[in-house]
Amino acid sequence: MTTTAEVPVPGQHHDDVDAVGRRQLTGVCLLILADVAFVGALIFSYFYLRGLNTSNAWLSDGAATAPIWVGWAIAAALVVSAGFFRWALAGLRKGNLDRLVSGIGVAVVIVLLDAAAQVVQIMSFSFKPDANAYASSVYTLAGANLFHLVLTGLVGLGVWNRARIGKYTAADPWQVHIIAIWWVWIAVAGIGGALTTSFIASPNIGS
Amino acid sequence: MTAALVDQPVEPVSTAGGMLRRLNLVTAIAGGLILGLAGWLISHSLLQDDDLGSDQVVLVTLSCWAAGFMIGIGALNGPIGWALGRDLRHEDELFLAGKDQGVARYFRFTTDHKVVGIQYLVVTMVLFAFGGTLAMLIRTNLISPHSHFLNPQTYNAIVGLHGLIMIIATIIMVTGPFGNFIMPIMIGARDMAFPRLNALSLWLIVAAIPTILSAAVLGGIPTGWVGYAPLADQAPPGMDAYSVFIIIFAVSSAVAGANITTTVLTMRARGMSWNRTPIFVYGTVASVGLAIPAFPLFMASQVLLQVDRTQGGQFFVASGGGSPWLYSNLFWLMGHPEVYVILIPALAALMELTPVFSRRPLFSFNAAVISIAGIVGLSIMVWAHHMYASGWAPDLNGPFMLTTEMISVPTGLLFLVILGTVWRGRIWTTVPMMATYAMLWNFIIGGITGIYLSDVPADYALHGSMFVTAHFHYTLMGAGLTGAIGALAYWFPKMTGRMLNERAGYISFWFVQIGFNVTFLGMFAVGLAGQPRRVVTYAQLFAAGNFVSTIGAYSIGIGMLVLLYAVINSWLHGQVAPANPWGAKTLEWTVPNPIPLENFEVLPVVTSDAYGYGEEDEPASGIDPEREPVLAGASADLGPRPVGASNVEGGP
Repeated sequence: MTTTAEVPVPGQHHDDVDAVGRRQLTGVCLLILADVAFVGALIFSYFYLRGLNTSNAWLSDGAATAPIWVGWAIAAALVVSAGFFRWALAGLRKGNLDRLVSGIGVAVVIVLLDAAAQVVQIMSFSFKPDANAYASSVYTLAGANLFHLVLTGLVGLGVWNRARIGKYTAADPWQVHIIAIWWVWIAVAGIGGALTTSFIASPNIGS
Repeated sequence: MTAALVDQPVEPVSTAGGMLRRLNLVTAIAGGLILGLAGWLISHSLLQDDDLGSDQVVLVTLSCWAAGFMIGIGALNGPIGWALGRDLRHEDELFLAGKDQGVARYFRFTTDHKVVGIQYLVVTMVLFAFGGTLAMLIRTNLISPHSHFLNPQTYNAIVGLHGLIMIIATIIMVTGPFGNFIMPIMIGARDMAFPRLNALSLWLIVAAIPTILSAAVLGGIPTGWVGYAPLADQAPPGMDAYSVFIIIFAVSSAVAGANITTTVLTMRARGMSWNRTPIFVYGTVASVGLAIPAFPLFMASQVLLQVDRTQGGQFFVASGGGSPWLYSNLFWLMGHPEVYVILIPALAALMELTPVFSRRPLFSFNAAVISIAGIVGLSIMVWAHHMYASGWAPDLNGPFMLTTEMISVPTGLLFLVILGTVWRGRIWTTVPMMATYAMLWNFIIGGITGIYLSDVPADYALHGSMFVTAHFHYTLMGAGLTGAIGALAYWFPKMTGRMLNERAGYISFWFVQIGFNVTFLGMFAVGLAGQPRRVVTYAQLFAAGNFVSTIGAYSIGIGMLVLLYAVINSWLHGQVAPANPWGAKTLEWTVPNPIPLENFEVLPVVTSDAYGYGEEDEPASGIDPEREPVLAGASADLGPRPVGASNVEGGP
């Protein structure tokens, strides 16, 4: 492979902001792909067992179920928080740093409250994970959503603190932009979980 | 080693690196033990469990061990510092990269991709040593029909551990050491895209190793490496260790996959268009790209298994509405792509080195790329061929047979690429080139027996037999591990600055390859005759074949010990290597020995492909590849190097 010398780069070497930003965006998108596969596997498991209804025991007659609206409420809060985060990002792009800090702050508060609501939901299920395959699946999806919420809350606290001390500028919005994409993904995952658990009864009765 | 350390420059008191200056493998182990013990005490008291090793307690303890280990090595310092707004200074980055830390950088959360590559190499060798020792125990037990060398429980546990450890070792054996050390230099980059994620992926594996070893004292893994439910639901707490290990490994592989893929997508040198990108880079990206969506499925299966085991979940319990087929599907949706996660980079490494030693361009570069893409695409559509005999979706057996047989087309194309490259080449016979020959022989056997097994009627007869064991060893070891050994011999001079002892390399090669074929041809024979796999005793009918297999396995063991000796001895005392001993044309051979911290003094610009070997060409380095004396001549110029040094600047 023939090579020629480019501009010499002395000891301290850094790429330009946009190159680093695009690189980080690519990496985070690939990590999101891995998370999509994980969440997809949990949703697949739910529908697979529901469709199979082995021994008619997916959800036996009279067995308790989770109220559907709670899952949707948690997902809706996630969507609202993602909206605030994107509003903050738009503010950053316009150079409005106050909007950045307040927008992220609201988004983080909503996510942390949402995490608390998820914990309350898990604690107040009227069944245990050992009741049937439906119960096991609902617990697991709720647990995965809680993990998302806590992780996003921690990342959100970090980015809020960095925004507060002036680490972001309109010329370099990449980190906020990338975290906004993650935020949208967990909102989508939350909707996916709520939608999944809305399909309760097995269509395969009596097999 | 001591002499080298004495040469370290004495620096004024520095704060570079912050708390990381005080963190290393010792603090990691201490952190793991402390948090693990705390987790054990708390979970044991909270659960009020009389059983000191219940599933919940084991899960919490091992998870806490891993968390403590990662805290102790400094993996969380970066994220916490980021959240607090403390960005790294240039001195911190240099400290993280291991500058002027000598051997100590190999025991720290070091970000330099070359250090991580060496760490991966050592971890891989340790895993192979452990898994190989277990293989010797298995074969010793099977030397006669009723040897009673191992009791059935121990035998079962050892078979499961051997399988899992070897699979993990083969997954990381190429993309770990060479994907990290060589690949960034090969594409003209100064480091990986995310250096800290690079270190994170390595240390996650190191943290996970004790968890899987703990399975040996927690009742073992009676399910084999596949961890099949519902047996996994009922297995002893060794199964919890298995789950924790797989979950950590899945995170590690996702992180490593994202890192390597991003590096290739965004950091290739100017002028390195896709048709000038070396084939090894394609192989590495295909492997980790497959792993990114595949391993989370394995992770999900283990999360569900833990819900079953620790919370009484019903995922895999038919009476509770669950299904063992769910586990089988999740597992094999990962499990068959995983075969190509192992194979593709090993074959790509051989495709990389074969033109060098044939002095011919890679035969049909485009065909090689298309075949890799074809294998990747088809590999996600073949998983259920592992489940023909399980009764799951019999109507799908035909389509899965078709897709499985189709995968032999792009695989055959890879054979043609290598054969076409060797054909009428001016062959320079070396240990790496011998690996190419061995792979061609072994993989043709592994591949064709795979076509038998993809056939539904044949699979019904052979499923669960020693024939299957022999088949996958021919592919994963005969092709995969052989490719990795070829890659090691090829890149050893660049990674260590020294030549691998060629005589020891040849001795090892013949012991391993002859032993390998004796072992597994014997296994094919007993498998065809009907011997099931994973059995501690067997009928007298199979005695001769098993005896032959065991003798062959001992030959492999001897060969591997010779290879281990060759690696250690050459690393410490081997002939000093010139910058480009093989006259190769890819970029990693253009950097000097030892390799500077940021690889390139000036960033390269690529103006041609990497395989311009021909009668009229001149090697990029100006070294005549036909003249072996170049080794001696170049080494004389370079002068002596410290004993035990690696080939990475910034150390001894």
